[in-house]
Amino acid sequence: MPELPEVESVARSLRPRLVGRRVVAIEVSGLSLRRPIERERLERALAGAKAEGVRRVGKYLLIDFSTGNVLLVHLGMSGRLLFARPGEARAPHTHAVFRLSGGLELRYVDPRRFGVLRAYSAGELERSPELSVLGIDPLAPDFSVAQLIAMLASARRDLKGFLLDQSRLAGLGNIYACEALFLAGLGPRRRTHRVGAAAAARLFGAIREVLEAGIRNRGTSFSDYVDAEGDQGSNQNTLAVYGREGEPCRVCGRKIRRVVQGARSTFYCPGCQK
Amino acid sequence: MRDDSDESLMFRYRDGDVRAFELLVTRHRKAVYNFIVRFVRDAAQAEDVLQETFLRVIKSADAYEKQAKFTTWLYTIARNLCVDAARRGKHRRAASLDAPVNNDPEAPALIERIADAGAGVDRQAIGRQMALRMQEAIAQLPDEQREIFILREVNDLQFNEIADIVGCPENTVKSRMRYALEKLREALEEYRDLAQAAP
Ligand SMILES: [Zn+2]
Repeated sequence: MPELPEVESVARSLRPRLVGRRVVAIEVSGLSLRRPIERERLERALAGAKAEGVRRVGKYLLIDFSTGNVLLVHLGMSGRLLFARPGEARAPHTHAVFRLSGGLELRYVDPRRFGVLRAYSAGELERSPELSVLGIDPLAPDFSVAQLIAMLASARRDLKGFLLDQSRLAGLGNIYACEALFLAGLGPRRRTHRVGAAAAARLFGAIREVLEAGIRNRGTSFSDYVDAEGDQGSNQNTLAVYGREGEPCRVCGRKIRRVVQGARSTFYCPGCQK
Repeated sequence: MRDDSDESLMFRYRDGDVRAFELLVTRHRKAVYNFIVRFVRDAAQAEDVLQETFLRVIKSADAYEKQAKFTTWLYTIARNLCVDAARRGKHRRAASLDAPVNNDPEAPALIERIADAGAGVDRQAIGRQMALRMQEAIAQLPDEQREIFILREVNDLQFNEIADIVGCPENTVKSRMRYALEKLREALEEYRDLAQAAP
C-alpha cells in the first residue's frame, strides 16, 4: 500500500511531463473505486484546463489546474498513475484515462479499486471529506517536536495505532510506522501519553528519517508500487524490521518478531524497542 | 524545572525548551481532558479537542504574556474549542473507535469530588449506582451551568478565573454554580429516596 514516500515519489515523477499540459479528454471504465468516479464532474472541472503543479498532502496527490480546480488522487491499496502514449495497449484494471495535449496520456490503474479520484474547486478542497479529516503531514515544515508531544499526550492508545491514524499524522502506513518505531527504539504497544519529551524527540526524528530515506530511495516496492514512469523504488532493501520476522536484528542480533495489532502485522525487535 | 510555575515553564518553552512544554502538558493533560470530555460528552471528540488545545498553545506561544495566569489562558482556549465543537455538532470520527468515557481507566474519581461539592452526603454511602446517577445529572445540566460546575469542582479553578474563561461577571458565575448545585442536590436526594424505598 503506497505510503507518504511512494506518493511523494509519484508526485515527483509526474511533474516533469504533466505540468504545462492540458487535459483534452477523459475516459473512465465505469467501475467504481472506493467511491464512484464521476466522469461529468471530472470533465466539468478539468477539460481544457492546464496542469500547473503537483502536490502531496499525507497520502493524497493533488494536481492543480489553471482553472483553480484540483484533481485529488488516493492510490488506495494498489493504485498507479502511469504515463503512456495514446496507442499503447491499456493495462488491465485501467479505470481512468486523461488524454493530454502533446500526445500523452495519464492512466489510472487500480486492480483492487480502493483508490479515490475526484475533482474539487480550490474552495471546496479543504472542506472535502478526504482532506478535512487529515492530520498534520509529518514532513510539513512547521511540524515540530512540541506538536508531536501535544498529539501523543492527547491520544490514549498504543503508539503503533497512533502512527497509523491519518487524522493525527497523515502519511504513515504500516511499513514506515514499524520502521520509525524501530529507529526511535520504542515498543509498538507503548501508550502514547506515557511517552516523555526525550522519547518524543527521538520519535519525531525517526519519523522524518524513515520518510526521507523512503523518498531518497524512491519508495518501497514489494509487489505493485511503481512511479508514473513505471519505475520501482529500492527502499525495500533497506528495511530494518518490516517483513523480517525471524531474521536477526541488524543492531542487536535478536530475532525480529511479528505481532498482530489492530488487524495489521507489526514487526519489531524485542531487544532494541522498549 | 519540576518546581517551576506554569508561567515560567511557558516562557522557557517560548524560548525553545521543549522539555518545559512537555512538563506543562503532563501537569494539565488530565484535568483539561476531564473538563473537555464533560463538555463535549464524547471521548474521541474530547481527544481531538485536547490535541487542538495544546496545538493552539504552541501556535500562540510567541504571543503569550504573563498578563493572565497560564491555567486561565489554557482553559479559555479549551473552552472556546469546546464551544466550536458543540456548534459543529456530531463528531466526524466514529465514537466506537475509542473506549467510552465510563471505561476510561484515567477518569477521575468524580464521585469523590461530587461528595465534596456540597450535597452533604456520607462518602461511604455513595456507591457505583450513585456515581452513575450523578454523572447523568451533570450531563443534564444546561451547558452554561455544567461548564462552571466542572471548572470549579473538577478542575478546582477560582471563581474569578472561571469568570475570565467563560467571559462573564463573577457574580453570574457564582449564581450559575448555585443553580447547578441545587439541581444536583435534587438529583441526589431523589436517588436517596428511591434507594431507601427499595426493599
Ligand atoms: Zn535489535
